[in-house]
Formats: sequence, structure tokens, C-alpha cells
Amino acid sequence: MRRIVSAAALALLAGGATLAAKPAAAQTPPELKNDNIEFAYNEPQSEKYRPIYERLKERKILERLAAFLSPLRLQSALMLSLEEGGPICRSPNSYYAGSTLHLCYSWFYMLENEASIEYKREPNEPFTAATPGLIPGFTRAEVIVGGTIGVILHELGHALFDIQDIPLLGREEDAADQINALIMMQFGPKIAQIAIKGEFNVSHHSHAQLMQKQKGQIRPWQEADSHSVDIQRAWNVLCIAYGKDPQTFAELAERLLPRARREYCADEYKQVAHAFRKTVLPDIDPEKMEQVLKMEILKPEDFRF
Amino acid sequence: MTRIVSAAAVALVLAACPILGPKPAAAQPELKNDMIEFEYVEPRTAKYKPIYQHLKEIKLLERLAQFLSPLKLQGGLVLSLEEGGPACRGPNSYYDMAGKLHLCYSWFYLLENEASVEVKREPNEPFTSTSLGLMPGFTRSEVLIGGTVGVILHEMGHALFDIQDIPLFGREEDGADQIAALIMLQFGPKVALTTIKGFYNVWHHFNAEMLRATKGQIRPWAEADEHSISIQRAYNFLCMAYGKDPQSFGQLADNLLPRARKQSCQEEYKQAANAFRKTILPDIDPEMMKAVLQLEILKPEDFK
Repeated sequence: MRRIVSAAALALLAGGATLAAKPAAAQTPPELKNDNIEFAYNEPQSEKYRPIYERLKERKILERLAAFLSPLRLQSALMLSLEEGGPICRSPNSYYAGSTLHLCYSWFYMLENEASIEYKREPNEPFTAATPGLIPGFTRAEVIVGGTIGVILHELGHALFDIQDIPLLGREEDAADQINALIMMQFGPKIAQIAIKGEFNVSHHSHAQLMQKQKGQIRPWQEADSHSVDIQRAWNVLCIAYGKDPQTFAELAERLLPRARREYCADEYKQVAHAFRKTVLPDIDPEKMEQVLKMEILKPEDFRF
Repeated sequence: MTRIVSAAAVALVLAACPILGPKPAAAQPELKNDMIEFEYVEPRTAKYKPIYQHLKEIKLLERLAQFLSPLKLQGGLVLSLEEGGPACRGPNSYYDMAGKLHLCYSWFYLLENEASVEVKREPNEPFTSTSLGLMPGFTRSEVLIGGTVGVILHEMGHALFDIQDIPLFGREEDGADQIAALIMLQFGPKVALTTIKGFYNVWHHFNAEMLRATKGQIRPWAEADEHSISIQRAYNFLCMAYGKDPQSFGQLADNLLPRARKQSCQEEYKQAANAFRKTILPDIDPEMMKAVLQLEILKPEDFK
């Protein structure tokens, strides 16, 4: 049940995998270009992934991502690859390995066909921790858009830790989730809500599948995983959001985040923001970042599926 | 159910234990640090008296102060052994984010009377994840030493993060556990095995308590806690140890750590060691550290 598998674990498997993709030329405003960043849309072999490939290519997701990342003064090159991939991409996943951010079609397929779907329940059957799919009060678009932003920023976290040699005390997978949440929170409450809700829903969905399969028990190999358990990840991300913006996220936190945890969220956000300022920010071009912060991060067509 | 509660909280708790070797006889003036003070606060509760007397007698805090002396601290640190208030009530210990490391008697009481005690099982009843107390193949003295060293170093981690303003990605509680594991592993395989086994056993015990209380289900409040679940913490410690020293910890890891996790342990150790080098080591006096590394860190007789 490992999704967005750890970079370290994957390095072993990824050894033999190669990406055939040719780097495309970035069609972005010249001022938001970065010579250290390349990208490739790899055509899928599987028929079911074709619509995803075509849509993401048409919406220029990698061009936009490359522009978004352009303020980073990277110490070495980063490749963004959208791909069907090998065994690591078979289950819904995505990963960072060998200076390449591998975004697997399997992840986007899961978003569209599982996590964002409202599962049928019996009349009076409540939505519980073991109910997969769309959470009541959430929208399909939030899950697909938020789950897309989430996977990209999480893997970007791994890439930054590696390429910029960021000191990490605490588990890398949680740290990557924190980078993800921190960045989601920098573009105003509207984007924050879409991204955080979507990410929360995806983790809730994965956790619910596990709970169903295992009748509410968590197995040792899941607890021993280098990732936190999915529902922990959901709460971690929501806690960062609530810590940054308690007004916007009050209702969501009251409904979904146990009270004892809520008390720590402001401190958790501050801790991560402080670490970002100290370790990542010095290598960000301030002028380019200003432009990125003004970018239209999400366009209306992003919400049509 | 928060044990060794996070520094960020105003109400937290922790416990401390004796680690460092030779009694700080007057012969080592070079291992002094004016930024570090300590106090033994006499307990009100009778059951804690023997712990207070014992830890005072073995000069736990003097030795801890000596152990920490190489740190060039940016602010004062007080080590306090105490019965404390509500934050000490459950077995706990804590750093208060205001320069004071609170080691609660409740933690030591738990080590002595619960986590290190062999619980009777029926004939042929296996030791499982819900079995309390001492684990088969572990010793009472390992649990007492490991549980004491572990709590001190974990809270020390919080104190360092705060006082030295260390940038933290990842959850602070896991970061403090990594600091603890990292330091436990710098004094040779014997100390490493004793402390890691002991602390593993403590977390196994807490996890077993929780699983019993909840009939094997992990409840939202545990998963939502700012700490990892107890058994996750146990695995994290063992993984760091196995990553640093796969020979000494091979058998233990084979028995206790799922295989998939074992593969990433070396990376995990390297990552924490790299972060320590970058963020903490620059503020450690190298000469004093050399002297500390030669201290007789653990003395089993301290726990008899």
C-alpha cells in the first residue's frame, strides 16, 4: 500500500529503469525559465492512460510546473517526467529518484477513477474511516486537482532535499509532506482549500481501503514503513493548513482533526516555515519568486474532467 | 496517551536517566559548562522517594551536565528532576520551550515497575504485540538504562532544537527521537545495544498497553498525535541502529524489523548524521567532546 514511495526505498528498484523521454523545449515566459529544469511527456502504452496523457499535455502541466520551479537555484539538474513507468508506477504512485521526478499515470488514474468517486452507501450508512472515495462536502474537482498538486509538491520535496542537500532531522517522508503543505498555503485561501482538501481526501481514501481490507487493523509492516500511515499523513497536512490559517480551515479542522492535535498546529506551521526560510529560501531567486506568486496557479479548465 | 510529550506543548512531560560514566569527581574541571544548571526536587509522593534518593546518589544530573558540557549553548539550560505538575502525571518528561528540561519521577517509576518487569504468561502463550513488560531476550537492566538514556536524549533533542534554533523539516518528535538514537550509537556497540534494546522495549510496552485498551484498533487520537505511534517509534530507533551498525543489530533487526523497512535504514542513519553534522556539530567544542566520548558512559551497577 505504499503510495508516493520513499526515495530511498525506490533508489534500489529504480536502478535499472531508464527514461527514454526526450526533454521538450519549455514554452514559458523567458523570465520564468531555469536551465537546470527539463521535462518530458512520455506517451503511455496502456490505452486507459491515453486520455490522461493527452489532457495533461494539452494543459501544459509540466511547462507550468517548470515555470513554477524556475526561481530555484538548483545545485544540479532536475528532470520532470510524466510516464507510465516500470514496476514502481504499477500501483498508484509517483517518486523521485536519480535527479528525476517520476509522475506516474497510475496516480492520476487513481485520482480520477477511485479517490474522487462517491461510493454508494446504504441509506443511513454513515461515512466512516473505512469508507473510500469522495468525502461528503468535498468535490471531485478538489480531489483531482488537490491530489495532483499534492503528489507533485511531495516529490518536489524529496528532490529539494537531495539536490540542495538540506539537513533533515525527522522522517524524510513527513518532511516532504510538510514542504507540500507549506507551499500549498502560499497562494491564498482559495487555492489552499482546494489543495489541502484534495490531498486530505486522497490520504483518507487510501487509509479507508486499508481499513476495509484489514478490518480496522494496521499491520506491522505498515507501521514500520518509512511513510507515516495514510491517515496520519492526512492529519499532518491539515494541521499545517489549520496552523497557518485557522480562520479558513476552522470548520474543516473541527470536523476532521482531533482537538488535542489542533493545539499544536500553529507551532507546527511555524517550525516548517522557519526551516524553509533557513534552508530553502536562500536558494530562491526573489524576483522570480515574486512573479511565481502572481502566477495563475490554477486555470478554470483545470477543473474540467 | 502522550508519553514524552512534545516540547511545543505547554503541558508536557519527560523522564531522565543516568548515562554518563565516572562520577564527576573534581578531577575534570574541563567538562564544565556555565550555561547548564541542575536541581533535584524532592518528591512529595512517598513512592517516588527511593527513585529520588537513588538518582541523587548516583549523581545523575551532575553526570548529565558533564555529558552536555561540550555544547556551546545560545541560552541557559536547567536540568530538573521533579515530581512536577499535571504534565508529569502520566509517565512522562518534557522540555518546556523555556530552557528547562523536566525529568519526571513518574517516568522512572514506570521503567522500574512496569516496562522492565516480566509479565507472567500461560505455558505456550507466545509473546505478542499486546504483551506487556519485558520482552524475551531483553534484560531488566537494558530497559532501565535504555529507558533512562532515551528519555534524556529525546528531551535534549527538543532543548537543542529550541535553544540552538535548528531548522526542522519532519515532525519535531521524530527529530528528537533521531537525535536520541544518533547519540546512543556513538559509544560503541555495547552501549548501542543496551540503550537501543532498552528504549525499544519501552515503546513496545506502551504500544501493547494501547492495543489492549483499544482491542487492537488504533484510535484516531493516537494516529493524530504529534508523536508517532509507539511502535513506529520503536521501529524508528531500531532502524537507525541497524543502519549505523548492521553487524551488531543484524539479529535484532531480523527478528523485529519488517524487511521492507530494513532496506532504507542505512539511508535514514546517514541522513540524520548528515543533519547533525550540518546543524549541531558546529556548536560542539571538539576537545571537550573527545573527553566526553571517552567517559565510561554506562555503569550497570547504577541500576542495581
